[in-house]
Amino acid sequence: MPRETIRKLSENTERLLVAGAHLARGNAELTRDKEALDQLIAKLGAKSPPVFAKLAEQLAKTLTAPGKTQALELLSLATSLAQVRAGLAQLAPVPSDDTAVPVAHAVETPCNAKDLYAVHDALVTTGQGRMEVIDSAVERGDIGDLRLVHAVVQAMSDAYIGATVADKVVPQFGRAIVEPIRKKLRFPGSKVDGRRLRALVAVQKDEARDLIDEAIATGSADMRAAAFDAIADHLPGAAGLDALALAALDGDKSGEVRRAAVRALAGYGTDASLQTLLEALDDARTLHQAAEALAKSRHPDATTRLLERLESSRVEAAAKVKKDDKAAATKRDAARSRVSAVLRALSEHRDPRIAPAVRALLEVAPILAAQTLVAQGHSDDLRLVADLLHKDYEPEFRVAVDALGKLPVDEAFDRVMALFVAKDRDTKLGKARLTALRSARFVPVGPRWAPALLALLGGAVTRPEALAWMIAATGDAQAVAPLMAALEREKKAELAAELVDALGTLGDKRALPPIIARVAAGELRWSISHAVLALADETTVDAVRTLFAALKNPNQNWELSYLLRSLERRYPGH
Amino acid sequence: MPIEVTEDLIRAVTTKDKALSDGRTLAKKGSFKATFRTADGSLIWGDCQGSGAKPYVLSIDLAGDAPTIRCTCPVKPPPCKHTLGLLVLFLEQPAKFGVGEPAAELIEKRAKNVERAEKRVEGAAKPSTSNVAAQKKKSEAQRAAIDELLEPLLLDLLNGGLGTIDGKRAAKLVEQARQLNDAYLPGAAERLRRIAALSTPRDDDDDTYYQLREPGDDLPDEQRHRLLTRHVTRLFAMVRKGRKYLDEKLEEGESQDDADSVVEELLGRVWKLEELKQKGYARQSLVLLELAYERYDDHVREERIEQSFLLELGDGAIYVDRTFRPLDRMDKMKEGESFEKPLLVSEAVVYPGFVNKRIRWEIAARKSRNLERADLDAIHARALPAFDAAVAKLKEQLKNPLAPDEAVLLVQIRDVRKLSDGGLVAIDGKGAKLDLRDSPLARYRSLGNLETTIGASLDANGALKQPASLLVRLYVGLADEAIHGQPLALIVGHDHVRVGM
Repeated sequence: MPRETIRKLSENTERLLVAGAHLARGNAELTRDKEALDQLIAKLGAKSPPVFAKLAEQLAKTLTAPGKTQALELLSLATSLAQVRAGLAQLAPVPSDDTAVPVAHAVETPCNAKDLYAVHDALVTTGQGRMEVIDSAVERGDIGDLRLVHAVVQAMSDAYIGATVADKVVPQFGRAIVEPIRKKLRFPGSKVDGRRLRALVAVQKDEARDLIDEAIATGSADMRAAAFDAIADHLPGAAGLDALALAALDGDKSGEVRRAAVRALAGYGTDASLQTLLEALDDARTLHQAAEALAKSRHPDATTRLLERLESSRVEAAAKVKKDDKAAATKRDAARSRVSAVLRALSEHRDPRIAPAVRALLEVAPILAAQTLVAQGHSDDLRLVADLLHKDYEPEFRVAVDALGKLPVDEAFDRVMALFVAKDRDTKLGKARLTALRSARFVPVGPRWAPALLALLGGAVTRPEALAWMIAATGDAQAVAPLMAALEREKKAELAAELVDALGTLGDKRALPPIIARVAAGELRWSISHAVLALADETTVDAVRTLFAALKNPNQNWELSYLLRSLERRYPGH
Repeated sequence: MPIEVTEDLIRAVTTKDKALSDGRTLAKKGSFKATFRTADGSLIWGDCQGSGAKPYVLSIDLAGDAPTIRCTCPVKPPPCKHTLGLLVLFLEQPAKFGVGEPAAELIEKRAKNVERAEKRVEGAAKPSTSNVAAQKKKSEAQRAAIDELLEPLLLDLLNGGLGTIDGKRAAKLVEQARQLNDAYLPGAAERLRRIAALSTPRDDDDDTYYQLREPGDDLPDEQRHRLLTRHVTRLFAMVRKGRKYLDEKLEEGESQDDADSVVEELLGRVWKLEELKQKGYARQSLVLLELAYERYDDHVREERIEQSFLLELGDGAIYVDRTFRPLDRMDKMKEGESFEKPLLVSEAVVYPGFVNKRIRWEIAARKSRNLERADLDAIHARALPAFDAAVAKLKEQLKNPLAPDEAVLLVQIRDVRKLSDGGLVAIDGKGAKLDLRDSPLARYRSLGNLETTIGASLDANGALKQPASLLVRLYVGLADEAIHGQPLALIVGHDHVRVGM
C-alpha cells in the first residue's frame, strides 16, 4: 500500500515535470495523491515514517504554491520522492517459470584488453586497416573471445568485412553465437540476412530447419537463395528439403534462387531430383551447379544416366570442323561444354564403366578426363595420367602429379626422383614439372624419401630449391640437421630462404640460431619472418632486437621492425 | 629510499608501446654514453646519440613518489624512447652506470622538486594567503553562479516542462552549460549537457549498440522522461548541497566524506593526491585484483573513460581505477591499464564517494605479482554472502541524491536460471532472486556472455558449480524502479571469466 501510493505520487509528479510546473497548482491528480497519502499516514499512525509527513507537507506546498515558486516546490517534491523511492526499492520481482540454463560449450576470453578493443573497433567502426586487424586476430587465435560475440554479429552486416567475418570468424564461436545472430535475423530479409542464415545453418545444422522453411516460404530472393545454398553446404540430403528445391526450380523466377536450388539437390537419391539435375545440365545458366550436384547424387542410376549423356555428346565433341564453319564449331563447343560438365559430375562417382568411357575423351577434354581417371584410381589409368608429366603440355602437369600421389609408394618414388636428375631439369618444362610437384602439394610418404632427397641436396643437383620444400613435407626429423648444415653453407639468398622455410615447417627449435643468422645477414623476407615466428620462444625477442639495434637505420627496415614488434607482442616484457 | 626500477615500473611510466620497444633497441644498440648514477641510486643520467650531431642529455630522478624524467629531445611529453631506454639499461645492465656526482643543475632541479612537493603538502594542510584569496574568489563565483545561473535556469526549464525541450532549446542549454563551466561549475555543466542530449531523442533505424551518443536517448519517451527527471533532481541536489558546502555548512547527518564528494561532483575539482592524503583518505598495504575492465567514449564529456574494477583482497571493497582521456588528445595520454596480475600497493588514496570509490596511487607505490589460486579463493571469501547485503549497500548509497543510481558489487551465488523472456535470474544462498538483464543505459551487452559462461560451468546435475561469485552492477530500472543486475564477471571455482567490456 505505501509503495503503491508513493509510486502513483511519483508518476504524477514526473508528468508535471514533463508537462510544466505551472500545471501543479491545484492539480487534480496530485490532490488525490495527497488525500491518499494523508489516509496512509493516518492509518499507519505512530508507525508512519517521518519522511511521509515531510512528503505530505511538501505536497501541500506544491498544490498551493503561487506562480513564482511553483517550479521550486515541484522540484523539491520530486527530489524528496526520489529519495523515498530509492529507500523503497527492492529486487525486481522474477517470474517463477525459470528453467535451467542450457549446457553450452565454453567460449574463452583469450584477448588482452588492448587487443580486445582494437579488434572490437575493427569490427564495428569504419576506417583503414580493419581487415588486417581482424586477420591478425584470426591468425593469433584470440578472436574467438566471448566479449566479441555481439561485435561479430554486428560486423556480419558490414559491406567490407561482412563476408570475411561470416566465413572465418563466426565459426570460431560455435553455438555461443547462435542466439545473437537469430535475434538479428529478419524476414523477408536482405543479402545480409542471407549471410546470417547461412552462418546459422552452418552451426546449428538441422536445428535451423525452421529458419530454412521460413526463408523459402516468405523470404526475399536473397534469403531463398541463401537457404538453398545452406542446404547444399550444410544439410546435404536432409529429408524433405528436396521437395522445396524442386518446387523452386519449377516456379521461382529468380535465377539466383534456381541455381542455388540446383545445388541443394545434391545428395538426394530420388528420381525427381536426378531427372531435374540432368535437365539442368542442358541449361547454360545452371550447368555448373548441376554438375556439382550430380557429382554428389546418391541415385543408383546416376552413373548410368551420366554415361549415357557422355556417350551422346562424345561424337559431337570430338568432331572435326572446318575453319570457317561457325555453326559446326558452335555445336562442337556446346558438346564439349556438356562433356566437361558430365566429367565433373562423374568425378566423385566410382564405377568400373567410367574409366573406359573417359579414356576415349582424353583428346577432347584432356585435363577433366585425366582428373576423372585419377579419381577412379585404376593403376593403369594412373600410370597413363602420370605419364603426362613427361609430355609437353604444362596444364596437364598438376593432374599428373595427382596421379603420382596415388601410385604405389615405390613407383611414385622412382618417378619423382627421376625428375630431379632428368637431363632437361633446367629447361622451362623441366622446372615446370618440379614446380607442379609443389603446387599440387605432392606428399612424399614413407621413410625412403628424406634420405634420398637429402642425398640429392648434398650433391651437384642444380634444382636444390625444389628439394627443400619436399624434404620438409616428409616431416622427417632426421632432415633437420642436414638442412641446417645446408643453410649454413648456402650463399644464395633465394635458396637460403627455401631452406629456412623448410626448417620452419619442420618446427624444430634447433634451427632457430642459423635462421637468426640469416636475418643478421640482411636476408629477411616473409618466409624467414614466418619461420622465426613459427620457432620462436621468449629468448628470440632479445636475439632479434640485438640485430635490429645493430642496423644503422633500424626504423627504415620495416620487415625487421615488424618481426620485432610481432615478437614483443607475443612475449611482453622481453 | 629511491624508487626501485622494475619491469613493472617501466611499463607503468610508458605511454606508448613503440617508445618502449625503441628504447629497448637503443639500450641494445649501445646508444647511451656516459651513464652514471648517484651512490644511493636515486638519480641516473647519461647521453644518448640521436640523429643529430649532438647527443641528447637525459636524466631520471628516482626520488619522490614518481620518477622525474627529463630529456633534451623534442618529443614531449616524456617519457621518450631515450629515457625509457635508459631505464631499461639501468634495469638490465646496472654495472654500466658508474657512480658519480650529478651536475649542479640536476641537484638544483631536485631541490626545486622537493620544495614543490613540500609546498604541495603544506598547501594541502594549510593553503597560502594568496591561495586562500584565490580560492575565496572562486568560491564566491561558484556561489553566485548557483544562485544566479544554475537555479534559475533549472526552474525555468521546469516551468516550461521537460517535454517541451526541442532542438533549439537544447542548443540553448548547451550554451548555458558553457556559462556554468566558466563559473567553475563543471559538474553541473556536464549534467545540463546530458539533459540537452537526452531531450532530443534519436530517431533512426541504426541498431548499433556500442558507443551510444548518450545512453538513454533511444529509449521510449516514458523512460527517457524518467531519466531526465533523475538528472533534474540531481541538479537540484547540487544546488542545495552546493550552497551548503560553499557556505561551509554540513547537513544534519552528513559526513565529511559525503560533503567532499559534492566537491568533485558539482564543483568538478580535480583532487590532488596530497590534498586527499591530508584529509585522511590514504590507505596502506593494499592487495588489489582486477575483476572487470571497461572502456567507453563519453560524448558529453568528450572523453574516453577506461575503468578497472579492483577487489581489495583484504576487506572486499570494490574500487575503481579510472582514467579520463580527452577524445582529441588520446595519443598524448597513457591508456588506462588493465591489470592481469594482482597489484601490491604500498599506499593509495581512495577518493570520497560511494560504494565504488575511485582509487589512485603513485607509480612507485605499485608492484605486481603472479596470480595464485589462493587469490581466487579469496575472491569467494570476500564476496558478499547474499543479495540482501548488496541491496543494502546500494540503498545506503541511494540516500545521497548526488550518488549514482548503480553500484558494482561482488556476491556469492548458488545458481543462475533462464527466464522465458530470455532474461536470467541469479539465486543466492538464501534463495533470493536477482533479475539479470542488460541495463538500457549500458554501453555494452553482457547477458548473453554470462549465459554462455554459465552453460559451460554446470555440474553433472545441471546446477552451477560451486563456489561461484558474480560481479554485478546493481541498478534501479527506469521502467519499474526496481533493482536489477547487469553481470560484469563470473568466478566459478578458480576460473574467472570477464563477461563485459
